[in-house]
Amino acid sequence: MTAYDVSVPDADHECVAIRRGDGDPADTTQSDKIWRIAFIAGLILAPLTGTFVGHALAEPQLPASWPVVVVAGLLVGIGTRIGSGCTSGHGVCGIARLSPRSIVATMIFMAAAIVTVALTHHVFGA
Amino acid sequence: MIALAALLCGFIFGWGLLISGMMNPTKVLGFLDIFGAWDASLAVVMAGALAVTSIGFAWAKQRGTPLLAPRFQWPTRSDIDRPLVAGALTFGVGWGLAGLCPGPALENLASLSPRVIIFVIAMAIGMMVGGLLQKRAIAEGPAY
Repeated sequence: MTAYDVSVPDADHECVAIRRGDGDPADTTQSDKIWRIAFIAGLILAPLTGTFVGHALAEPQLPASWPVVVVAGLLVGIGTRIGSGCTSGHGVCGIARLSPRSIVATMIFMAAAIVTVALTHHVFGA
Repeated sequence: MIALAALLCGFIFGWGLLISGMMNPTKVLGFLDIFGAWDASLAVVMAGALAVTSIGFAWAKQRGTPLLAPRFQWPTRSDIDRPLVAGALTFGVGWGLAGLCPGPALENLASLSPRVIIFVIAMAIGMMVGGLLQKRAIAEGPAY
């Protein structure tokens, strides 16, 4: 698992306005890797510091079962890479730039997620 | 310096996700559950994030050059292609299944929750698979 693979948001749309080439890992330079790791470190550090100011670090309640967790993780990973972005990349950074790609992608993934929740919670699920 | 700035960005982003409840999969699923007990509060979070980001980006664009890099690298593409649509669909289904997207998933690693760790490993594998699919698509030329 390299920094490249877990960069957030891995996108056409990186919030820090530094972007790799066109989807080729070889385009990611050493300094790109360093700031990506630093970004993720800051991200993980945030909830740890929250403990000191009344935001106790709670284990997240993942309602999904183990197999669902694995499948969901795979789908999120594949979708983020192929669709060049996720909630923050398209949904926030992209829409803020009024990028047509991001507006379309956000509408599609919101719709897909809403339908998925509707199906799993109200049609097939508990 | 860039690394320090990135660390700070990650930290601020993380605090935003923490305070807003985006880190909590149950809350996210409640936001997506518009046909059930819909919790619309995350829409406000998104609106707030968009307001700040729009102003920030407008300011950045006016500046011309960034402080810590030789130039800005704004995304330039504007075409809606098949990978974008397929990827967004795939991502949406995964997000709806677990209530986790990449940012909050990584941030939740702080709790050392086994499920989150498995999710992140699966996500990393998914990204590698996605990368391979992209590469193959490029090698085969446009199939659409």
